[in-house]
Amino acid sequence: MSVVAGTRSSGRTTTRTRRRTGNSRWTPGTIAALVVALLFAFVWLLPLAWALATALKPDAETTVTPVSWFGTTVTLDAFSSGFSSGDIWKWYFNSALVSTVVTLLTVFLGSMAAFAFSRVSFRGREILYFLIGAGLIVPFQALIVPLFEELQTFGMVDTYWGMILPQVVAPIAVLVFKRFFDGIPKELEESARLDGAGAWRIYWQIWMPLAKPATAAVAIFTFVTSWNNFLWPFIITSAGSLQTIPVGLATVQSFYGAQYAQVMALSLVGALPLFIAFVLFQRQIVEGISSTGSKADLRGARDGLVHGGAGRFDHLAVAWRQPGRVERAQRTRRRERRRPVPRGERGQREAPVDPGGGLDAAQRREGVGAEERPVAWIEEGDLAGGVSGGGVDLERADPVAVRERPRRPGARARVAAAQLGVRLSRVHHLVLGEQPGVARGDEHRGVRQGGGQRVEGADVVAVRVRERDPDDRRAQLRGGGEDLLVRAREHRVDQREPVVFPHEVRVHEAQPGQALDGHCSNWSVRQSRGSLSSRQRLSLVPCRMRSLETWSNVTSTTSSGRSSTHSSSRSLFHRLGSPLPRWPVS
Amino acid sequence: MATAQPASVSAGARARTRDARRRREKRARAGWAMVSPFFLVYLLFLLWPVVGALWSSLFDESLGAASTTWRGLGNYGELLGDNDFWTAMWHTLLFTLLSTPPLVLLALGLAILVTRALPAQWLFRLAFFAPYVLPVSVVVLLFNWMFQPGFGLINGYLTKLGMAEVNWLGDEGTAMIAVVLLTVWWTLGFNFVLYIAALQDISKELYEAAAMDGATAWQQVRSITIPLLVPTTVLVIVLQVIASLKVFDQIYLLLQGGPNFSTRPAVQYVFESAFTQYRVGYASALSIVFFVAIVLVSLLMFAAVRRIQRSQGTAAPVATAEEIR
Repeated sequence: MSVVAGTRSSGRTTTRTRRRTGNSRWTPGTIAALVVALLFAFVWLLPLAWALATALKPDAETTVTPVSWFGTTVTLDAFSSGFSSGDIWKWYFNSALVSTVVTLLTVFLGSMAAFAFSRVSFRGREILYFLIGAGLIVPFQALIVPLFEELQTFGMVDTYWGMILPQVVAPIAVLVFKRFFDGIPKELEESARLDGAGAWRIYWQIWMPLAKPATAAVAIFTFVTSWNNFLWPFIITSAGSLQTIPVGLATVQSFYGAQYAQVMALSLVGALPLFIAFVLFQRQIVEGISSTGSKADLRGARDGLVHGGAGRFDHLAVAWRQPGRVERAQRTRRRERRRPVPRGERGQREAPVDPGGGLDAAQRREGVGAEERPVAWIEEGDLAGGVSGGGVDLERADPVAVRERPRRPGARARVAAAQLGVRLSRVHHLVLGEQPGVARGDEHRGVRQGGGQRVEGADVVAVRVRERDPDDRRAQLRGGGEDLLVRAREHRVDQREPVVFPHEVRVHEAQPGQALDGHCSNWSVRQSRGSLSSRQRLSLVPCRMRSLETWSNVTSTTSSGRSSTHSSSRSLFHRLGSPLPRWPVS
Repeated sequence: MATAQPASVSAGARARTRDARRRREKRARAGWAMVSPFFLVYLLFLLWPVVGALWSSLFDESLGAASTTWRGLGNYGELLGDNDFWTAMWHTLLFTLLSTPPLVLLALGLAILVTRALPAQWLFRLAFFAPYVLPVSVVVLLFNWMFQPGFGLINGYLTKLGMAEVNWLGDEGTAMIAVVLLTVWWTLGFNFVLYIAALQDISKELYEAAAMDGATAWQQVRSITIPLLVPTTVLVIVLQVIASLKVFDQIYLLLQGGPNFSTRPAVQYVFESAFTQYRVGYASALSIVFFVAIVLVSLLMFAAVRRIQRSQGTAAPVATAEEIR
């Protein structure tokens, strides 16, 4: 169910919604959808089922007409003769060997290169990255002839290396890793750098452990692609002893001819390893393949060409819902999206933002409209003090004003209304999903004193309306505001508790210096996994306890005396319990 | 960053800048060292073959033979008049035109159906995506078996329903259709999961708000789901077209380009020129033309995508997913 703004809540709409959702599970429409979807799923499973049915028949009965699904007996003869021929084990071995080596090499070489592209500035970086990005559009199929010739001169035809090395060339791996690394604030490695760690150690000990989601995606994608690669092993091998599963199986038909039970048994057996892996790790495999495969386009090359990297935050190869991890960098504001953004490191087209007084640009509200302020989202599954969730957005204080552009009435207007509930920025209260306190180092701090007072003066409060609530449920705090906050201080807030938003103006405007230490870190929300329902994930927390990139206009004077105004980015990384400095020290 | 140094700099400060510079240089060296393994492989097995193809396309070169003779642009002249090659290119294009619409539309439709509050989503994901992890040879064996006349599954059911048998693989008119059917079955899952991911990103509140307003399920799909899926659809189409243009494996394995070369795709023509006729120089020229064609199509599509994105950016018909979140 949805959120209704207290001041505007109307009984009529909630009743209607309730009636609709009350029996929404099995409406005729849903049943029709289910039937159609099941029909398609059935059709999709049919070929595999038919292959299995054929493989289980005695060979003589496979080619009877009319078609029948079952033979007179069920026999495993076809499977046993397939296994005993020995070829299949050889194919398994070759496929496993080739795919494993290809995957390992791709992950290591790709992540290493991506790290250098993302984090180390060196001469020629942009041009190299552009070259590699451009490789994305080179169709491998167009290279088979020259590659074969080249490997012939190297003497690599009919060798494992000849099969492996051309498959390692995967610009996509570099791209995925680089986007991942770009999304992690640099501050993470600062302390390690101050300790004198070299680029290699930083890569291996800091970035690679962080990059597990990207590694998993790239590894799965590479392994599956390589395991199923037909074209290249087919061309480069002629010796039967080097055949991989796809190549070996291609010879099965001519070998067995019309012995369809054998043919089907062998093809099922050939498909088996990856199929089992897929059934076991369905989610990971689907995500790895789709997230990596969908990035095979030109954007990487363009990134490299325009601005050695920091740009587009809206497409990061970061897995969702990984608790306690940087999930996404700050989304850029709309007008900055997909634009070249100046980057601080190389070229130095601009000076870095002066961190004046230990505050970052956002805290000084530079370049941030008066009506905007940083808002952090909390989502289900966020961990205590973790850096996670949808990142931090610079929100407009009154999104409704933006959202209510003249449009068709109807659904759109309702959308705006729903968004009002989501974003209610005028709301002066906040419930901390569960906030007994935040462990900080060894200290355990309670919610800031006096949090309760700020509950007063709310003019709008978001209230979840559930099915059994009265139609005209008023926006009220269950058990009173004080009570709630007191309870929040001690226990977790119950899932079904209404959510209140505390005022956060003070975070930015009272004493920023204090806010930074005493307040901000305190406001971070401790949650155990799943303690927030999806309805509650709307809670807003008024401070930047997550990774944050802000864009601000900075006027700088170059050494030649020229002054220019430009936008500049600055990222902040702030993680409770991390050994790194939480805020830049001035 | 670099500000003018005051005239009198203490020795310590100078040492510090020297130190910093040394550290930077060391880091830059490490950067090169880290990029070079990948770049070396990349250079050897991607960039160099491209250059090599350009170079050998200028020769009359034969696989295994030691002697090559300079031919200039002769290979290109020959391929311009080579009807077989252009027919093969047409087959590739035809395959793309036939396979892209079902692969995109069916994936979209199924993804919407499945996410429409159906139970057991894993079952559908399994059914539709599992074929994608099968090796091409397995897929071809399965379909070859199903397409058989007489005792094949498809023809068996066609005759049971009282229809005439179709000689799927032997008839020039139906062979390409058979390949398209196989490909749709095999690769639909990829587009399907891209759509599923995009659909899961659409906020539930939108549907709830629409439902509150009395929108029917169909209206919700039409006014919320479809517009929000435009960026994904663009991506899916781009990836699909590029993938379809590279078709070779399944056509080669299922039909060897037959019957009567009526399905032979461009890649197979290149392959045969090089590895059955041993005309490497000519095959290189063909590769280059094929390569240029693919790059051109890719670039055109990316330009179109950017235009769509830009026009969406200025006057979005509906808020984009990012905006809503």
